[in-house]
Amino acid sequence: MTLVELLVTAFLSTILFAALALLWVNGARSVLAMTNYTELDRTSKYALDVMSKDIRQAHGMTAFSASSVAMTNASGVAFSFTYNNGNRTLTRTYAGQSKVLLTECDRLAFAIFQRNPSNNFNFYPVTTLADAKLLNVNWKCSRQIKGQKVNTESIQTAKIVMRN
Amino acid sequence: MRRHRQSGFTLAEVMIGSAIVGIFFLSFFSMVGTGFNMVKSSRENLRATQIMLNRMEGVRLFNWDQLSDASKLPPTFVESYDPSSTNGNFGTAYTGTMTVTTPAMNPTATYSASGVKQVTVSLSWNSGGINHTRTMSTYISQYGAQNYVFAN
Repeated sequence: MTLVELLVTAFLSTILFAALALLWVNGARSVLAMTNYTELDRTSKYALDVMSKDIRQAHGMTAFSASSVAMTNASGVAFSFTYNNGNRTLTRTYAGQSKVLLTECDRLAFAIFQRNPSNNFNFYPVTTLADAKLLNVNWKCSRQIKGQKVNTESIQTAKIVMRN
Repeated sequence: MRRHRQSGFTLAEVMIGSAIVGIFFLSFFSMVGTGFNMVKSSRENLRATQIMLNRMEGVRLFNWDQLSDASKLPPTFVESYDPSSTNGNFGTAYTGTMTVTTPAMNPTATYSASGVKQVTVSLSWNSGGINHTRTMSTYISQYGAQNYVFAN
């Protein structure tokens, strides 16, 4: 093999291996993105199921902010859901026992409304907690893959009516 | 001086080998692409379900007369994939219809045939050039389930 042949072969091999490495990295990133989304979606659904069950059974609301809501159930047991913007978690506290329902939560917001519907399927905002009947919650969780949020977001929105 | 024959690959062998490797990579990335499309479809379906459930949940707060009030319960509406987006990218747009009809009950409700309404939410959206449609339906009784049970 001549020196020229050796150089051409080395050049072509470098290109080939670079292309293969790129394909491999992209493939792995794609699979990771899909896995992440599935996992985020699973935890989001679980969190929403737990919240829906608790809030539907609530007897009344005792405290509210855009990041936290506190209620009591029919037996007078207090429970709450609190979003911590700093560590990106949603925590459920029920009868003094706390459990993190969501992690990696970029944003979460609660809103409460009265029983009466206004126009265009909207509801009147609450002025006193005793009037709260409908709770709206939305959040977005995400994970990064090598510094990028690509196809890894899970968005949830829900209206939950207190059945009290 | 004696010359040795150098063994190597023929052009046909190289071409066949290249074709096999090419097919492998095409298949692999086609599979990844299909996976992404499935995830995207799954996310859009999930969001569609959320929108329909939100509508059904909100309807619980309507009284009997308000169910027929088009100003409170408009027959058409538009929602987006991420309505709370902070960067202006709201994602896929969903077009919805909400109809309230008097269904034909079989057997006919004994207390009042017109005391039951059927609420149907339909959503349609376009993704990847394909139109998707989902529908959810429920019944609402004017006097609630208890009246129905105890009247019979």
